[in-house]
Amino acid sequence: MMEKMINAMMKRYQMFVWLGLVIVIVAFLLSVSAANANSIFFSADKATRESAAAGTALVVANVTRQSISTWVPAFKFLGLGIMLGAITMALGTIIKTLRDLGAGVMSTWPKELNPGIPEKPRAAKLFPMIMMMGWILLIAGLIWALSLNGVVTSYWSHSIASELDLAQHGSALLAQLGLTQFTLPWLSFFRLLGMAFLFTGITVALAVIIRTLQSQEKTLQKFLQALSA
Amino acid sequence: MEKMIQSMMKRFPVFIAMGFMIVMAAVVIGAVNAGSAASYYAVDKATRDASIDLAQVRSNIESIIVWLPYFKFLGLAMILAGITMALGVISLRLQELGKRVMSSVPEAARLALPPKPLSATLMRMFMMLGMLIIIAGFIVSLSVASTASWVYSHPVVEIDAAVAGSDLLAGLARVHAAEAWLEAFKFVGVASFFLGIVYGLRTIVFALDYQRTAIPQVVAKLPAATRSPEKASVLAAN
Repeated sequence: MMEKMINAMMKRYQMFVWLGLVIVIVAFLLSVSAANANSIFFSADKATRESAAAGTALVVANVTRQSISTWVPAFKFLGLGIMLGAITMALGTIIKTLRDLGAGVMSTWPKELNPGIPEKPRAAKLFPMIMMMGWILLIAGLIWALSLNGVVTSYWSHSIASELDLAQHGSALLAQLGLTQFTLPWLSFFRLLGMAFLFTGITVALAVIIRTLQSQEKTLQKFLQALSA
Repeated sequence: MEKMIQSMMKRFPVFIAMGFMIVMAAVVIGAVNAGSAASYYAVDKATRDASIDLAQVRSNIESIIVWLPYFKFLGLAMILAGITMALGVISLRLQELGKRVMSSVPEAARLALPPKPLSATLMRMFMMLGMLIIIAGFIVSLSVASTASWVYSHPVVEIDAAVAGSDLLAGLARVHAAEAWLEAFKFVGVASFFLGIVYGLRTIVFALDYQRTAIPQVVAKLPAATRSPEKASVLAAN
């Protein structure tokens, strides 16, 4: 059941690669809006932008630039992760085609010389799971980044000079700043760990292809020896 | 044109080596820049904010921070291009192998070879597109780096005192705006390479799938007398 579901999903790698690309392009468009916010914010002199009151265009621009830089990297990496997953799926399709090809060739052999299809290696069952793990980490990172975005938006929607810089020890504002600074390195860790899982999945899939080709070569040699004998 | 592309594809190790050298050069430049940054921040804030000489040091640091990541991605792009080319070479070899095997079987048993799939063209197209996006990003980053170099060649106190509408503030806004959208160039470029790799793999799947269906058909068409061990080995090796 699970095997069939994975095989059916593997074949849809082209759909996944385009889905990933769409996410990366949406992230690109969001970066353009962050660039606009940066332009607005830095068009005012330092004293003006830091003393701007909550609700003014400068504070809104600052909220936008801080918010986008909080969650968009996680979104962008999810897009790239889906594309890497599509590469893994394409490799999985190659493995399946090689196996079917081997079965097709062996079906033309005489029964007494046909050793039968070898059992699927454990690594072949492992790489879809590694890929899924990578996706889960990237999705979890995105969900965490989105929840942090609320805190970031709330923190930066205050005036820098009259509220943020004057925040007292133990205040809600400093707690929000602390939470943001605590979470950002974790989000980066999640992104990199997710990507590491996806690259590992690709490597394992490549190892399965190599092993399949080696096994086919050995089977062929045995067949030819038996045939000539 | 086709021949030129094919001969270029075969040079994939050169691209990978060049990419690796660029990444290594970027690591060295980054390490030197980190050293400059360490000595810059070793000076107390009041001195470094007011000093014109230290502003020159910061100008170099900020300029390198702008263009170096795009240079590094140019190296990564060359490595990814090398991988895509290697996939192109694999599908090319599979195609040649198919032609050779088909020419070795009796004419009556031969099957027509399929035309080159669209995925092979798409693979090259997305690889080229990715390369163009990354190169464009690198060129734009050089221009932004020159603005950053000019902005930060002024002492920090002067930058902080810049009034709205001044060239200095406009330059600062350009640098900060560019760092937001320019970053996306890297990711869209890499995404295009991934798309190229997927289509490269799709081409290999296409070739293997054809072989999977063609081999039993060819074997079935072969007269029993021609199914010698030598012929069988050629067929089976395919």
